This record gives sequence, structure tokens and C-alpha cells, in this order.
Amino acid sequence: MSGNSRKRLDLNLLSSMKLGLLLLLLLGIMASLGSFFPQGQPPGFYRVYYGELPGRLIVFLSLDHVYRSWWFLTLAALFALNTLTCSLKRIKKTPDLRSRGSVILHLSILVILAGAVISGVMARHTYVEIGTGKSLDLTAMGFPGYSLRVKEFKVEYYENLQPKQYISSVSLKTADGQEIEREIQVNRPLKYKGLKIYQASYGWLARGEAVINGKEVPFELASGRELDTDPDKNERLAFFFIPDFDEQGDTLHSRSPLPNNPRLVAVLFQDKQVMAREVLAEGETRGVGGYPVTFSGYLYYTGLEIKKDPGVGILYAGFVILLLGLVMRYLAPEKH
Amino acid sequence: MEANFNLLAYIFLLAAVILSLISLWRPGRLISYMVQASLILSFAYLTLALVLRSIAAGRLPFANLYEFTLLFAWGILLFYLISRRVIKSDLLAALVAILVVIILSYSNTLSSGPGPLMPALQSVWLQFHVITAIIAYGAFGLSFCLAIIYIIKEKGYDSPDVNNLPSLAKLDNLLHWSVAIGFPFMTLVLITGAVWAEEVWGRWWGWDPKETWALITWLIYAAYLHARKTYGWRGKRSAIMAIVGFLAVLFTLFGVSLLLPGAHSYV
Repeated sequence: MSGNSRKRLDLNLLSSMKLGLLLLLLLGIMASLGSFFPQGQPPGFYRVYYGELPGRLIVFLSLDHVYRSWWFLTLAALFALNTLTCSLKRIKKTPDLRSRGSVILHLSILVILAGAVISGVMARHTYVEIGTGKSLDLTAMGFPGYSLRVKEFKVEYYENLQPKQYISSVSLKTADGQEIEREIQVNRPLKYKGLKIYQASYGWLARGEAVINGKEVPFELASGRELDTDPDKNERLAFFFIPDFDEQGDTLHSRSPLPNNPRLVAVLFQDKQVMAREVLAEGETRGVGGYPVTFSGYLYYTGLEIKKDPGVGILYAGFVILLLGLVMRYLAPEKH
Repeated sequence: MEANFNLLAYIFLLAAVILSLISLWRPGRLISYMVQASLILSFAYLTLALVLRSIAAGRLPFANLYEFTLLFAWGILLFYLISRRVIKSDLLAALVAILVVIILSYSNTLSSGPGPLMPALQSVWLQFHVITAIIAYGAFGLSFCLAIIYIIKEKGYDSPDVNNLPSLAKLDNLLHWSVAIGFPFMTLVLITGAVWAEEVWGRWWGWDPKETWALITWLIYAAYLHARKTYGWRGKRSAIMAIVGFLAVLFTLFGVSLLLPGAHSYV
């Protein structure tokens, strides 16, 4: 067999529908595996959860990160090549709008896959929590020249106190020296030149001061966080912020999400044991197991997801091309 | 009111199941007519229930798995009624009625309060996402029933209703027609979902189990269409693929919600 005809044979195989079908089904089966095993856990997790040998096997076969495994990516790359070569072969034989639509549709899948690859390789994501009134320089997080100040955060509620919207009012200093004032809401991210900032989370920060071994230690902590008081005994002060404290009920229960009756619950732990517990109103100072604690105030923090993903533009272009292909393929008049 | 209409829809559906089974055993024009009337009434009451729910909640019924389950049932009935223009069969009516009864029965186990929309769902993309899903899954539901009928007919059971069915080739064409309608809408479900996820979470694809299974569904039906077009895979083999495709739909909607929790927690 000459080299040339061999090459042609390989190309025929690569562009064949048989391979295409096989790849569709294999990709489906492989993708389903990733939905059954928890993804992206440390190797030890699988050995504990599934047993020593099955756990090792799962990690060995990359079933702990199916969608980034070499065999899944190889299949996807083959699928792209198959779609490309098959479409190129068909470009020459397009007698009517419908068949042209079909080729465009298939080529759009390649644009979408290109968007996915660029997303996977080049996207930068980071999650930050910023207290209201505070600023954060985003340079260290991979967004040089940007800094973000949170002016206000609020939660809007329906009548039944179900959350309606989470809103952060921010001011963004951009790398080119502009200052943008904007409200960020769920489903309404801030967008500036490819940078997007999303409303992702929120919570309360409690502010105050504890005196630990004669030293004044100011704190501003998210509810549930701790201060070490005596590391040798594993003794810590934990702080819980209760926005609407119920005088009659359980200490950590909040009657509503609104700060109608704000209290700080300070708990002294030794290992898992509760040594002392005090409920403090704003401005109050109490001793908690010998450590004086002052509760001076509270504020919201907002959790924001910041990202830059150059793949999205290409992806959306692929979607538009796909829609165009669909319209041509299905709505163009049929040629008899 | 809404609950009453829901109940009426359910009762007429149960009537359609029983009547269609009787008609398979003792066929007759009157009973066939009653089967159709029950299904049309059931569809009408389900539509009314959905309209009333939208009015009560002040939004379209697109907010949770309970509401989507009703829409799913509604979509399958809609495609069945459209298919009546080309195929009139009590066997098909029986299969559709049984499928929809199962779906509606399951919906009764889900929490059904018409609460307001949570922030993540306040997006125009939700509307596109759900509407395209109703069409895609409705068409796939019909294709599933047609595929079963195809296999029954091919086995050569001798009964009046099976004998009265259109030819195998025509059944196969009809099956292909419903998959070919569902598939572009399934594609739109994936696209609108991706755009929405990009707007709400900042990641257009995250291999969440629900996303993954929607993609698997798409891959199966893509394989169906390509195998048929290129290799002329018709008949039983393609009927089986259509059945597998719809099992993937059911798993995406119900299996994933029960077994594989992820970011798609509301549906």
C-alpha cells in the first residue's frame, strides 16, 4: 500500500459516520460516569468512601476527575476532528439551503468546542468576601490594576421573608483609571471589558474586642469564626451573630433574617466542650469564662465571584452560528 | 380551584387509561371516542390548572420540579393530540395516558406551594429554558410511546388495534418526525441553560449532574438522527435508541434530582 492511499484511508476512517456514532455513544457513557462518582475530591476520600482497592482503582482510572482526564479529552478531540473532517467533505455537496444549514450547524459545534477549550485554559476565577464600606485590591487575585469597594449590601425580601434579591452597591476602579459605580444583583453581574463580577453569597460580620491574657484583641469576624485563647489547651472563643435574637427560645435561633434584635453569642470552647457562654447586646461587655468580650457592632459582608473568561465570546458566537444553522436546516424551503 | 382542576385532569387521565385498556380488549367506535374525549378533557383541565396557578403566583409556573412535572405532562399530551392528525390508535392513547398518569402521580409526592421566585430564577433565560424544555421533552415523550408501538407491531401481535395501526414504515417516519422536532429544541435547552448559568453563576458549563444528563440525552438523540440518516438505521434498532433517549430524559428530570444532587437544586 502506498503512503498516499494509506493516508486517504485514515482520513476516511477519521471522517466516517461509524467513528462519529461510536464517539457520540462513548462520550455519553464516559460523561455519565462522572455524574455517578463525586468529582475533584482528594484521593484519600475515595479510599475511605469506596474501600481501599475500589478507591485506588477510581483514582487510577481518573474517575475522580473524568472531565479533565486524558481519555475524555482525547475522545472529545477525536470527536471534534471527526466533525470537522466530515463537514469539510460535505461542504462540496450542498445543493440547497437545508444542506448548507446542516454543515453550518456542524461547524458551529467546533466553534463551541473551541470556546470550551479557551474557557478551560484561560479563564480566571476568584471568590472574595468584602465587608460593607471596605475596599479590596484585586491585583493579587489576577486582575491587575482593579480595586473594588463595597458601599452597601442589602437583601430584599418578599412578604413571607423569602429572599427576593441580594444587592451589592460597589465602586470599581479599573485598570485604565475609570471609576464605575454599579449595583450587582443575582442574574445581573457587573460587566466591564471582559471582567465580570457576580453576586454569589453574603453573611454577617460581628465587630468587637476581646481581652486575652491582658492583651486587647480587636476582631471583625464572620459568624461562626473563632479566636484562639490558649492553643495548648485548644481553647477558643467562638462568635455567633444572631440578627433577631429570641429571648425565650434557643440561643442560636434567629426569629427572622432581619437585624431587629441583634446579639452576639460568645462561646468559650475547650476542644468540643462548652466552658462558658454569654449573650451580648450591642455596646455591652461581659466576661466569657474570664475573658472580657465587647460587642461593638455588626455589618454585612458580600461574597462576590470575579472572573475573566475570553472563551465566552467565542462560545456565544458558536451559539449564534448554531441558531443560524438550525433555522436554515429546518425552516428553509425543501428542494424536491 | 387550581387543585380541583388538577384533580379533574388526573381523574380524566385515569379514565383514559381504563377506557383505552378496555378498548384494546373490546374495540368499538364509542369507546374510542370516549378515550379521546377523556384525554382532551384532561389536557384542558391541566391547562386551566396551570393558568390559574400562574395567576395565583403572579408568574409563569416555571419555578420548581413540581411545576415542571405538570408542564412535562402537558407537553406530552399536547404532542399526542397533534399526532392524532396522522395516527389514530387506542394503543398509543393507552401508552400516553399511562406515561402521563405516572408522571402526574409522581408530581403529587413533590412539594407544590406556589412560592415567589428565588433570585437565581429571576431571569428571562429561565423562560426560554423552560419553554424549549417543554417542547423537547413533550416530543421525546411521544416518540417514546411511538417506539414502543413500533416494537409491538413488529412482533406481529394479532389484535384489531395493532392491525389497524399504520404500516411499520409510516410508524417509523412518525417516530423520526417527533425526534426531529424534539432535537433542535433540546439543543436550545442546552444553549439557554448555558447562557443563563453564565449570567447567574459565572460559569456556563459546570458538569453538574443535571447538565451532564441533559448533554447525554442530546448525544443519544444525535446518534439516533445520524444513524438513521447515514446508515438507514430504521425500525427496531432506531426504536430502541428512541426508548433509551427518553429513559435519559426521565433520569435527567427525576433520577438526578433524587440520586445526584447538584447546583440545579430547584428542579
